[in-house]
Amino acid sequence: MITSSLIVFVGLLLGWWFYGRKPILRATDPDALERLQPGLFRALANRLYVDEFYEGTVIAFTRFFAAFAAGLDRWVFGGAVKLVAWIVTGFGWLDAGVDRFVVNGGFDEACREVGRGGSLFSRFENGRVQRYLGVIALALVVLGVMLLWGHRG
Amino acid sequence: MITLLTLLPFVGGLFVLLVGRNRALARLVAMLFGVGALLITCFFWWGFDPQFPGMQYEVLHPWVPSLGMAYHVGVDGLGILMLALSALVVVISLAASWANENHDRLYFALVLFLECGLFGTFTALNFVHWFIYWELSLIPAFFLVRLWGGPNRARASMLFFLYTMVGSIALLLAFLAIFLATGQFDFVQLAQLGQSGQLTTALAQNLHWSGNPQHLALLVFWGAFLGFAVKTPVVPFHTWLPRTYSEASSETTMLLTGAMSKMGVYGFLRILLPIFPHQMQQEMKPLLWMAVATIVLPAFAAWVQKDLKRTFAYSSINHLGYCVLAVCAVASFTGTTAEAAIEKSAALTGVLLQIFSHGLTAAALFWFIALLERRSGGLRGIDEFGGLRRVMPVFSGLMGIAIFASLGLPGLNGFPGEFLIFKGVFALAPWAASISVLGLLMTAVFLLTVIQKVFSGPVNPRWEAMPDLTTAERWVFLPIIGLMFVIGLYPQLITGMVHVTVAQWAAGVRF
Repeated sequence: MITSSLIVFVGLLLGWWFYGRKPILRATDPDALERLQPGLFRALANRLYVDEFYEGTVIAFTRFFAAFAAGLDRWVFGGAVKLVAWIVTGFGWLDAGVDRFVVNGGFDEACREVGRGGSLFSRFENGRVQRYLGVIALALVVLGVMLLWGHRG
Repeated sequence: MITLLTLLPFVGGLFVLLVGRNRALARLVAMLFGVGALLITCFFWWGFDPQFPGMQYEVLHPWVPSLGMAYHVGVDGLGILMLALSALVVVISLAASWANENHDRLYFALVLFLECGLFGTFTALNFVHWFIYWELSLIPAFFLVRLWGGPNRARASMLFFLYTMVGSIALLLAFLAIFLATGQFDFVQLAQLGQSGQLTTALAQNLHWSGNPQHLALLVFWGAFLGFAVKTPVVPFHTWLPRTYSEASSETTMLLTGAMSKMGVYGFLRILLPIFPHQMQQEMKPLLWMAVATIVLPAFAAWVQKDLKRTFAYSSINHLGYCVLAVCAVASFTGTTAEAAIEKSAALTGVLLQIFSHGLTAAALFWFIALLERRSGGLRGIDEFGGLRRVMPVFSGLMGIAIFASLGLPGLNGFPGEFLIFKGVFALAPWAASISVLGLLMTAVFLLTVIQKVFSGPVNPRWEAMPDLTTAERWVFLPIIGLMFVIGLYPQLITGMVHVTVAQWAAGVRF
């Protein structure tokens, strides 16, 4: 009780000291505290820079962390998903390439070769007796040459 | 009765497709079936005995006994709550689509098919039966996102589908392993095996696992977890959500956030917590960290979004993060004292309240965004509005109430759930609760930023003639906003229905 009463009286005394002895006559006149303690007056006028302190610390950090969280979402988590998508797509292309050029290519080439072989052999089997006799004659010649060659060896 | 309820929207969807190209008739038929399903759900709610410790309206028919498949449906406190929420959100979404000329009969039919999938998922008690509905619900949802929405909807729908499929495959593999080991697909039976520890032994023995049995059980648990973590979603399996929610039409987003995202939390409560309590306890640190990340990171990310839908999409992740946090905290605590049981009950009751409240609030918020989009010619950037409370006082007032409900203001529906979750989690996992408070704080920051930028300040001259809510719109919003107050002031409406179910869970999760 005594302490609080003392504080009240000290406050009243300080108020009188600053403003009671020499009252401010015009609104444009400088404040007594501003004249005596300009630094303290500026600090009080700026609410002890509490807003600026919060702006520079808590709010700045919150802004940074919000941007970080959004970035994390977009680049890290989203990036991981994209990476997986690219890897899967890459495997898809690889598989399609193998399918197209190796499997299909090999199979198609083999089919073409079989086709070519067939068309070649079809020349020998065209239904004409003359061609069959010719082939038989050629085969006999080849056989004869082979037998002779073997006999000599 | 449950079968009738599940089939009703499906039949409704077929009817809608059969009524021809008349959009007005299609939406009327869809609404009739939607309201019919809601009425049947109310009938279930009314006839539900909250004191009965077990499943109600239960139906059990053998299907393929050799494969452990049975038609087993029923509801407890959780099931009845999910049914009510799904039916309500579908009706709200259909009402929101009423004036959207882009939504034709196919849209309305797909909404009803999705409702069928939701009802099936929330009532099935056998894995196979449940999984069929779980997957079936994905198909209408995919087409709803793919066919109606923003310019990047094709990419968004593909992302949504693939993400969910990856989760579903992991879940399926986990349950196939469980079936091979136990010969069971029934959730009730599996919960008994899981809680007694026999599941771990059976997995190792019957799958000829030569290593540590715990490791195999953990592997199976993480497979099942992935399925629900994607659906909920839990960070870092969430990146499909902001894109999907922002690209889908707002009416579809209402369904996705109001009802479908709850399938993930439902899985945590119905499957993970009862069947894998030991594994959840073993893996509590990564689980709690993921839950904390799900709360904190999206709350911060929401603040820097420029699109209203993306802001509320991140807000949805954050709000469901509270549910995941509570479930993980309950599983992580090893105490068996009466105090621990009370805190576990508080946290789990909070989860159920949060599920319902978030479903209602998020659906309302996305409807407000849909109305804003329709009135502004498709705009929804936060910086594109300003001063709307002067030109649209009723709209701003009602959306403000929904935003404050989302923020968790006492007296509105968001408060009781979040309060109970934090009450429980502070006792069970204090460090996780302490960090998660940051999410609460940031939720207030970004939601108040939305109010400030959209409703306050000078009126943007472009919107000086923007019309306020019509009389019909006001009448439709009245019961939704009214329900927010009712749950906020009288949460016993929900807690009274679920307390026996919650007490059973709290008693079951003992170590």
